[in-house]
Amino acid sequence: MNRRKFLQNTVPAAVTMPALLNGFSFTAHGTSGNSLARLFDEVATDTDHVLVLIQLAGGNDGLNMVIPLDVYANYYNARTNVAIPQSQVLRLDGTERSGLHPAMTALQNMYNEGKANVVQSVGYDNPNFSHFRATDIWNSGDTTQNRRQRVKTGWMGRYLESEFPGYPDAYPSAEMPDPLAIQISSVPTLMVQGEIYSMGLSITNPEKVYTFTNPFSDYPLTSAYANKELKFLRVVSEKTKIYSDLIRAAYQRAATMATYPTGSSLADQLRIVARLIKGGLKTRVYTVTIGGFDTHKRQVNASDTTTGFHAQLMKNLSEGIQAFQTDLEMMQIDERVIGMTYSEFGRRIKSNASLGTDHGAAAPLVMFGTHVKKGILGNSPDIPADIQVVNNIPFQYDFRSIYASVLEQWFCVKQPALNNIMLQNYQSLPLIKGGPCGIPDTPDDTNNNANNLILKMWPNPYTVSGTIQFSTTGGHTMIQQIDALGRVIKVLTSREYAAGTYNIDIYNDGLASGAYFIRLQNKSLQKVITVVKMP
Amino acid sequence: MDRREFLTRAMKKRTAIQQNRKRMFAGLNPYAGSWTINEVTHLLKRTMFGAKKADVDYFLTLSPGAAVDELLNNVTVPSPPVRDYGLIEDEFGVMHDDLGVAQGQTWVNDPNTASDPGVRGTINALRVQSLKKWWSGLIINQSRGIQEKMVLFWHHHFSIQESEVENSQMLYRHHNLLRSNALGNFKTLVKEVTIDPAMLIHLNGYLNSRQAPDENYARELQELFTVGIGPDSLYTEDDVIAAARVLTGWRITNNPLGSYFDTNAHDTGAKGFSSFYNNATIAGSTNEDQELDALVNMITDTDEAARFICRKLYKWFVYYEIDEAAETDVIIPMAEILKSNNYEVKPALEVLFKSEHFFDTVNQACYIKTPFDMIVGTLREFNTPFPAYTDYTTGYPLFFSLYQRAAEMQMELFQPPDVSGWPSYYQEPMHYELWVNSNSLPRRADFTNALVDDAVIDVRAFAGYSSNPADPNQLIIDVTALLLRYPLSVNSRNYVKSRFLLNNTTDDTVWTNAWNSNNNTVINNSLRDMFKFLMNLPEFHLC
Repeated sequence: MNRRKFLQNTVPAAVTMPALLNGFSFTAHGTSGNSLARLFDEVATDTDHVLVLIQLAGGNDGLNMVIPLDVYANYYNARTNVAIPQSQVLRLDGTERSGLHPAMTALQNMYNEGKANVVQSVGYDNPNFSHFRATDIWNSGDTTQNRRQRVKTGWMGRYLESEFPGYPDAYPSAEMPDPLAIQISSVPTLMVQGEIYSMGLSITNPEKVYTFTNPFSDYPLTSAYANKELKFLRVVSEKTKIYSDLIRAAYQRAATMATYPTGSSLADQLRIVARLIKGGLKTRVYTVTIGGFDTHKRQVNASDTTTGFHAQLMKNLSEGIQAFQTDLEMMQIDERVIGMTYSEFGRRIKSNASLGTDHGAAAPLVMFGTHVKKGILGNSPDIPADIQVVNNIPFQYDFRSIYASVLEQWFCVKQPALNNIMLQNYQSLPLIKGGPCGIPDTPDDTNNNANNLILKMWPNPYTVSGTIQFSTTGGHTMIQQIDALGRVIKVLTSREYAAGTYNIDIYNDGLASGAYFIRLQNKSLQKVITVVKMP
Repeated sequence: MDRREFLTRAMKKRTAIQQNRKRMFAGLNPYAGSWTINEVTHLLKRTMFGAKKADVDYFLTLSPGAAVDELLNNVTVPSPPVRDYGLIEDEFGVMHDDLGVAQGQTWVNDPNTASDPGVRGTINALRVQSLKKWWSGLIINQSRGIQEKMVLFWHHHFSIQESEVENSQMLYRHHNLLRSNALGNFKTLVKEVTIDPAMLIHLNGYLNSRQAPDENYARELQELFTVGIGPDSLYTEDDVIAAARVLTGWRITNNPLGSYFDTNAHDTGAKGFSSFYNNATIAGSTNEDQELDALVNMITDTDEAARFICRKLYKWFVYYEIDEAAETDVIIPMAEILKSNNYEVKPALEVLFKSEHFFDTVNQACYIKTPFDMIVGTLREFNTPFPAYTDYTTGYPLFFSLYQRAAEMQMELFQPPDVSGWPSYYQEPMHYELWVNSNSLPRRADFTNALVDDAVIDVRAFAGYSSNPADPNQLIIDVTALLLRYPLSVNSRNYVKSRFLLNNTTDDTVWTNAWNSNNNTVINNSLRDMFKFLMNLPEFHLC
């Protein structure tokens, strides 16, 4: 094959599939076939729902945000110098098991009013402790270790690209006249990256006026290359101007109604988001960022562990979210918006000597909004009494189960698109109430049902052989073995089961001696127990 | 028009032109055409960051050949980065000094073991920061040569990331390796980079052992650094494994920083390669150079290695499309020159930059500026004064802002997106176009607008470059000849003139009178608005 043919053959599917949709010609990008599949399926889902993602950059200390009251002694023992005193933990309606950081009274009120929830121990199977890589994992939804096999797109990018194939060429359109996603930052993140283009716009000042100018249609050069690039630049600058004008107009159409805390960059960003939504943008996703969570040192003040850097962050987060929710309610658009926090990792269970905590694994996340289902999903993390530096919190919920559930229950994404976007099938978790996508609003008994599941192992500790007994309500059931660092090291079963109780025998599993977790996942239910392997 | 229609149209156009070019294709024959401001700015904007008026005037006095010789041979050896930071606060709020080096002294030979252990991490981070400032300082202070663009090219080529290496001494050592060999021998560079501590960390070479071979570097060495994955690159998976075995045993020492060959970890068996490498066998050895040299020789003996590196240089300096004619008439002969000169880079670059092909109008004005072309090029073209790169008190903070602006526009020094470097030079079909999107374009506009609004650049001095600034027609012709590679049509020039210089009239004397009477308010306001407009034109992004 000659080089030219080769190049033509290896050009990604990007430019090979013209089609006409609602009168707009567009280009389907990508080799995965996602967008092509959608093409013949349906047009973009008709929804006015909005998701606001709050990135807690640096790795949030989840254990001091949601304090496990039911294992408080072990919690305190593991991090005496940074532990929040039990008496000062903010209590949540209907549960004795966990409470919030004392600086989060605003979020406590929202929880008690049924406008916020907590999902415990969110993480993934092979935790990465590098800020860069772990952030990429959360933004892409891909934990693949082999660099070559990883996707280069973001989970939101894949969603938006499947909803709006051909962006940006065929947009703005009558169907989607506004930016697909807006990030309040100076650079777009991987989260909204599509196959080739970013599906999002990043802005820092919504009122900025750009004077991109394309006054002339003449192309004085006879060079094809130069004309091609100039034409491209003119198209980009026209679109950029259109979008910046749209954003400015929307911002100016709406006024802030609630009172936001001052001196908080998160509050400033959320205030912009509320105005843009109220101003009429059909944008589906907004991201905002609050930094400073990399609290290796002095996350608390020695004199009073309820104060310090982390306390200030918790206060800013909690008050920022409440002001935003209030603003949305006063603007009467709260029914359309949910939000959630995420951070690249939690922090180590055991604190360090510098009044701080080092990089860790799973952590709780918070969701908020008029439509989030009240409650705490999952159990307090298992904290060993004889805490070691290496001990990490294993995940109870895969972060992609949260993403998949939001796409399914808030954006009404159906199969097979959902699996295409998420790259595989994930557990559906009960996170949204009111059934906006027509999914039945089941009573919140997930935790109770999970507690009724049988999961035990004998003997425990075990040496060479052992038996794991588990029950399932039927359907897909998985059992994973997780090491002390929070890494899944064995999947003992993962298949469809009929409802019932089953045994799995272990013989000579070749694992080093030490503590492990056995995690049972049965549809939306999950349960984790600690087992010990003896030499 | 949508993108597809636009691409097919452009492609159709190109087919027509290609048929044309078959007859009159400009290959590597020495360029003997006209030597005007057009050709000089083309050469300078591609080989340096921006074309400064003084440089344009200077090179106009030379022949094209002499100009290229000077650009290729003007190489300076800078002094290393220095400590620019003061005391460092530890986790308990106590202040410590960096006991390894004093302020103003270089840290590149200091292992960072003298200071309080609680602040060494911060010291390392501050040193990395000073390294970025220093490099940005060298770029903005570049002399009349290709050196800085070549250093950046090698950083793109042997892409390493600060986030993986996390060691200031290693990053500097790696950078200095690229810098010292930027216009030297490619084989030397490949050999040295292979055993460079930063690269040993970045691609796991330091973990590669006889007992547990790690193929990471051996794979990238072939796929990204030497032969690539074009249609004629036929190395096999077994070649990756064999190369990994050749490279087993290289380890790092921290004090002094270096690498060494641990024969205990080295696989001394014979390594056989595929027919792509002529079924070569590399005999096992415990000599530290023997197998490594044999591997580098074996790889670079292929024609594909020379062609691959020439294609990368071509995309960096000329254009990203390499059609059949360019492959046959430019890449292949250029690769032959590279190979017959034992991979000395300079002779190959020399023939490229002196060629008809390089100056062919089809290759002019089609290069989308990189963030550094945009930032440093613009500042240099306006002759904005900067402190010397060695000035760590007033210079380093300014240099850091250059680094930050470029990072915002998606070109961050020491942090390319991944080991393949910047996608603008390899990602089909967009290439350079990936630099410009609805996110980066506003950042570029913010930057050039701020240069004017904050009077960072002197627009009036720039107008003074015109042979007759009092004549609005001549003024626009002269400033756009320096600023834009893509010329404005007569209609466009008239629009700019009327809107910005003639107060929306067609009367040239409006401007001439203002200029001649030295009416500062009118002159400055008009020029400010005009230059902001010119730098917001899509044409401004082309060079």
